[in-house]
Amino acid sequence: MMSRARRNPSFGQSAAAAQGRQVFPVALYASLLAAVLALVQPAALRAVESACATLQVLPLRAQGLLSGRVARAADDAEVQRIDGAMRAVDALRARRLAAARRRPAGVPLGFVGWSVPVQSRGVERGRAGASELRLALPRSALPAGTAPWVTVGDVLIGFLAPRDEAADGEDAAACVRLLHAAERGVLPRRVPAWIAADDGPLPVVVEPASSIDAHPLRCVLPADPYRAATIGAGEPEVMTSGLVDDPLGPLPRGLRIGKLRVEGYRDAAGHVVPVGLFVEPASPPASIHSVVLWVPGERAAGPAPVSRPLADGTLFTARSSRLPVASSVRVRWFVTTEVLADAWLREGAALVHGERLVGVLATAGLGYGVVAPFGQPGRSWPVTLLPGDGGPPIDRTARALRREGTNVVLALDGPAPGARQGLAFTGASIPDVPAGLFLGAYVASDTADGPVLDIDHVTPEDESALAIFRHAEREGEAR
Amino acid sequence: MIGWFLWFFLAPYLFLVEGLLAGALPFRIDLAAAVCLLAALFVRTGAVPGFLLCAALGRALLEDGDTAVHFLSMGIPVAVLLPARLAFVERSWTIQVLCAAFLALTMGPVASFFAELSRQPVDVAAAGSWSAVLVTALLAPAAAGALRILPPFGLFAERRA
Repeated sequence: MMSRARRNPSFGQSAAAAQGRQVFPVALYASLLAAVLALVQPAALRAVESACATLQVLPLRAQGLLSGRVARAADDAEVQRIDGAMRAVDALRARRLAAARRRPAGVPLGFVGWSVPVQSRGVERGRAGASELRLALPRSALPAGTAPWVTVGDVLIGFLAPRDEAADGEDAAACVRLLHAAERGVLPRRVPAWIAADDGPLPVVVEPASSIDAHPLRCVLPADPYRAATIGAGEPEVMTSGLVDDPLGPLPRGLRIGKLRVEGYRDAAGHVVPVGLFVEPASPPASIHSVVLWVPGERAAGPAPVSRPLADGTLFTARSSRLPVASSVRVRWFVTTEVLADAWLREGAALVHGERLVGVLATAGLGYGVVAPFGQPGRSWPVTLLPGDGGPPIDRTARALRREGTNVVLALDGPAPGARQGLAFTGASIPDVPAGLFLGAYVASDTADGPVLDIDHVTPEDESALAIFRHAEREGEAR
Repeated sequence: MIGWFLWFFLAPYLFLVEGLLAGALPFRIDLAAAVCLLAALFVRTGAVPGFLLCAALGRALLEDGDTAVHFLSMGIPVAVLLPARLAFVERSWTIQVLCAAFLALTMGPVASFFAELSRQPVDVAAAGSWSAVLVTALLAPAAAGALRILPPFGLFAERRA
């Protein structure tokens, strides 16, 4: 071969080129680079991927037509018979109503609370999350004299955004600017507060922290800088102080803002020398399901405070077939809608059984989807816990750790709930997964890595009553 | 062309078979590793990207993570192994077992790295254990051998002098 290559140099070159292609496959490297780009900018190739997936599931669709089970409309009586999801959702709605009617101690008697669900969230701002909540209520529906401060339970979360006459139409949704909202060129809303320290309250002003800080809010202008410098590493509550002559408007006294977080250096004796005093909000934006607006009056008729979870969207009855998969969750469902017209399904949409969440679409397209059951490891969920001791609902976020059979284990953000048993629901509404869908009974426990929830998420045996949900406000979006 | 057509539509079924076997057997036969082994050692170099892309599309339909994550988790280990074709002309069972062990060790961490980068949930917990690596190292070459005699895969085979 060597002698042949010596006689014919071009043969040697082409053989070397072929060998080079084998060692350095340029096409493979180029496609890997394209895959990295698709990962960073998923929107760029989503249409191509969706078209390929739609083609690739054609045999599965044909198989589903032959073997899938047709869904029946899940009427109330059927759902009542199948499981207790509806009763659980009723209990949550009642408890939410009761919580909304509970008046924090500092709120003046001339106001009555309206519980308004959050419709969508503004742009995420780093670790702090969204800085704006858009409510399911037009700004024009708010009566004159509505208080600017907005609460969740006894927690101050932010202030009603002033109406922008130029930009907002007649039906513009009311917006809440959260306490950490900071906009270039606009003075942030500073909140007079006090830190409930062991040796008495320490007055401070709470304002948005900078984007590089570890916490969304910081305390400035302490009334007693010496005490602020010796406050240590505890986690006392930070609450509104309700200054009578607050130049930015009156604010009730005693509303919780969050827990103090002291950033600093620890000296040899173990004492913390503070560099900054920060506040971790008591209600993170991702977990807020509904807020309370305070309107003047004694018994004002507000909007319907808590609607049924599936009220504001479209349900597509589904034909389902079970797919075996090798992942730890072990099962997927291939679902198709009965009609194709206007049945664009989206990834992340909820598959429901009555008012129980079964799973979400991991892959979706025109009239089809592959559903992963609730509890995919690594996915974060806003959850609402209804404590077994009769307390108010607790809104949190949680990350799925694993699913074993019907048992889903979630790592809970924040402290464990006081009541170790109760019912769990989907929390703050996310696109195509409404708030308030029943997940199952939970048992909370503490581990070295923080509190965890064990949810008994029973997969319905009767797969014939499954339906796919699509939110009303997303129906007009481009595909 | 018929090979591409068949492989494009059959790829999801390969992973459904993997799921069926995982439910029936006490251990998991990682057919994604078998596909990667085929791509690394037996498929024509020019056909490797398309071959892996079809597999990634099929896998993304049934498992967590989008196509890009699956393509990268399969494509990067294969790109590392491709030069081994020059060194190991014979491709004996020993070489195949070593390559399968490498694939079992690397595919999971690569997938979890890119999934974390793009904030996608990907379940790699089961694939990371040493017993899973051992099972894949032993069974993936056998699975790859079985796949090689099936119709679509034979059409992608490297023609050797």
